[in-house]
Amino acid sequence: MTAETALYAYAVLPAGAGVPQGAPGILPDATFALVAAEGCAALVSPVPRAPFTEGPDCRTGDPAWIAARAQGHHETVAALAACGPVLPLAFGALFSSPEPLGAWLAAREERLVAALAEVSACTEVSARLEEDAQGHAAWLDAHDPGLRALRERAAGAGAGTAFLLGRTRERKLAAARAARHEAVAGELVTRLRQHARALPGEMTALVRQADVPALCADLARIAADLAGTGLALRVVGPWPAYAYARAALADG
Amino acid sequence: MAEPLPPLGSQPQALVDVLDRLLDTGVVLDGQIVLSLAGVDLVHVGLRALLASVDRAARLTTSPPAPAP
Repeated sequence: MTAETALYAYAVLPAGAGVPQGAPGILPDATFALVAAEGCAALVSPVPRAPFTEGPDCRTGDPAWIAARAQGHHETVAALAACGPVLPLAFGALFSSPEPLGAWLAAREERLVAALAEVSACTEVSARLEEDAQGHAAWLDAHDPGLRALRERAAGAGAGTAFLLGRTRERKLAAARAARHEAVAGELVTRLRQHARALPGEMTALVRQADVPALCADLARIAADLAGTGLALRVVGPWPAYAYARAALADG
Repeated sequence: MAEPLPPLGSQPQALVDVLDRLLDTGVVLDGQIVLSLAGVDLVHVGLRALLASVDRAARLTTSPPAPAP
């Protein structure tokens, strides 16, 4: 390792894990190596420092370059996760040499090994509740008796009263949208919790791979119930245990 | 949503979802927020700047470019 090079670190793996075959790496033509502690190891690629650090060749402010690096980071971590337990490191971790990374691993080896055991045979799945504001308002307008009554009263009222009733209806509609969004989100969290080993994020579940089909079937039922109501459920995943890794090692 | 999820690592995720996922996840290393300059143990990271770029890339991925004047 020289002053011009560094190690890009992707993830923590169990001791004895192999390097990924055919993964893209953080930069084109990246090679892989392992930095080992006793019970775990980190996957790294030697990289030039210049694009990652301040200076004339720095690329970290270039969104297109960052997007390509993020894709390379993710695809490499996903390739690892397809073969066994993985704790992804935060995107962008660069070490000067193997020694400080080895020391970092050794200092928290017990916790890393325990977290690796937790994510074994698990994957992360996230639910996203997406609102079509106009469609949601129209659905509520048609299904909420209070909103319907206000509309009907406004239709038969004079201009001034109709204006005031319209303002009231707008406020009630906004409150109804928020309340329904919250209620559906709460239902989603309940379903996720029923299938999850842990909930490391607001609507993100760490799920045993064997339990994923049942979770997806449950979410599909909710998605079908939501169809045409202005709220839609999108399931994102499966992911390596990104959120769990952050939560499990949050305090250092 | 009726489609089953693909096996992990078998299918590329949408870039915008990858960027969104990487924004606030993964184990944060010592010094990744507070830069280690003197020791140069953890070489860089300027995580805040990096994450701002990830956020910007995610927004560019979701938003069509503005029409030329």
